[in-house]
Amino acid sequence: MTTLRELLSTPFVTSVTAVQGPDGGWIRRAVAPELPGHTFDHESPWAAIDGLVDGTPAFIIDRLRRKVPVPVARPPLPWKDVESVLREVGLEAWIPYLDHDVDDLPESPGEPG
Amino acid sequence: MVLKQEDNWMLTSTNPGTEMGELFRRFWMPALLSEEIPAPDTGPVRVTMLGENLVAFRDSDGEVGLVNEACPHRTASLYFGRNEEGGLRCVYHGWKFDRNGTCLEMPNEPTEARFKDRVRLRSYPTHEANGVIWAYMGPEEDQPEVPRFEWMELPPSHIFVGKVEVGCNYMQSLEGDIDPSHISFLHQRIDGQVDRGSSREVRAGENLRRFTVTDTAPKYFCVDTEYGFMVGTRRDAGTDHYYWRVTPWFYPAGSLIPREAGTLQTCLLRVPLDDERHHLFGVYYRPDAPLTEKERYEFQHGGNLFQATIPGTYKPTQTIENDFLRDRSEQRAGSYTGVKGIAPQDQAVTVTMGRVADRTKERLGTSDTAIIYARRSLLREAKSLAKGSPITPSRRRDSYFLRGVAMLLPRDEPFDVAALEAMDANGPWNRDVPWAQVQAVGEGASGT
Repeated sequence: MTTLRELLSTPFVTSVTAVQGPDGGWIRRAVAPELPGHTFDHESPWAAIDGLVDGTPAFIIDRLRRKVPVPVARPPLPWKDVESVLREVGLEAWIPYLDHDVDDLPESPGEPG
Repeated sequence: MVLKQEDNWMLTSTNPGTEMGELFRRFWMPALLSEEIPAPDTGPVRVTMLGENLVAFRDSDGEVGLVNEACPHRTASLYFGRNEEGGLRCVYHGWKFDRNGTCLEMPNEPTEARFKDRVRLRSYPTHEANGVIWAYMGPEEDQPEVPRFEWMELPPSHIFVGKVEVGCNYMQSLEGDIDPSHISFLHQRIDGQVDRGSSREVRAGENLRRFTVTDTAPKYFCVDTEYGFMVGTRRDAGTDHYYWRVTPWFYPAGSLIPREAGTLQTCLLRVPLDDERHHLFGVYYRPDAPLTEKERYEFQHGGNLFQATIPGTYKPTQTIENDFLRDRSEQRAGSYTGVKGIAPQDQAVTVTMGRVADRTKERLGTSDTAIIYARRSLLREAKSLAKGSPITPSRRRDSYFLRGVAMLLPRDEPFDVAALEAMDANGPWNRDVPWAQVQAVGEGASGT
């Protein structure tokens, strides 16, 4: 069994590349190579990393709701304050589900798993 | 987007009462070298850390005390104190304190008043290992285990520990420690060779560094760990492999420099004196063999890796005042900088940013990924602690038992997982280990 807390405590690799934006200008793209499709573009690499990291819980939860598996790339960091992370990104409604099996998560918080 | 001024202040201010200062105080940090207080009852020495003026002394039992410099009576300096019979005595009125700050004697007050029982001298716990005296300056209830770095457990013959004062905020130098793209320039030679300076033998065996010459725009990958984070710097190395330099970065300001199997390991620990100066504690060691006489001589006399200091001090001979002894003819002849030595080369570019760099004026690129990651991590933890939340790093003793590694890995393997065995300080460290036998193949494999 893998819990939501474990997945949200799992560190994922972060990298930043330079890519050409739609207007032809160069921007920075923060990527999480282990979470295909999870990227964040910004002119500033700092803001790109911010966007990527802040968006990671939502990306993971969205995949789980759609029953798409999330890779457990490496052991979770068990002392990570996941509750605070969820509050900071406006996902506190998922806090009651942190210790639920990820296979039993509801489509939205409040619904039975 | 650049760093906001208030975040730059927070990042760089470690004095008492600051957010970052509180974070630093949750960790054990090197305070001084054992050689500074070589024997019981020798004279106390001044120690400045995190903006606090302290004195260190070795008492009659050989144990180390680290206490506030100001006597609690009239704030006279205990640096002038007498270190005698189990305590440090203020020369002004004879008040005497043991290494834990307990007042033992107060000879100018009536004995029956027991005033001495109500007076304490602020003191910090210390731990001594392999030539370094560590201190913990945080709240007693949050005191972690002393970190277990590999070099702390090696025979003294295997290590060299040096200390040098650097004339800038700790963060500028720390950022250099996790900025591997600069080695393709700052520490290079214009003829495309690695600048080994006077230390050709010390640095022999670093065969893979040739890829820092051929690939000057590496890719950076960062991943959180229980001690901080890991930086993987990836360069092309033939058709099947990448050349990875994997740097473990430790809270609050430490790192292990990536090295190839069998070569010298390097641990860099940076400790603020105040906001405008810091000490670099550099540890160079061979995990499974003594340093050679040549290596030790070079370290002690300022070779390419560790720098010369003014005798009797920990102040470097190459400073901003003398332009780090830059030699323009050397610069024309092949040295990229004209500055001799890796550390002075680093300082020539970090100290000259100013005592505290103004990060609001920077233009950061993708090559600054690890630097951004370090700043974000420190600011996140400092702000979290200020709000009363627990900090993320585990501070678990064994989590520091690692090595920094430079190696070839197959292109399809995640660097941190594939490098795990090589990074484990319990494993062998010689050129015969299987992971050091990997050869680059195909186009670009020669690194020329």
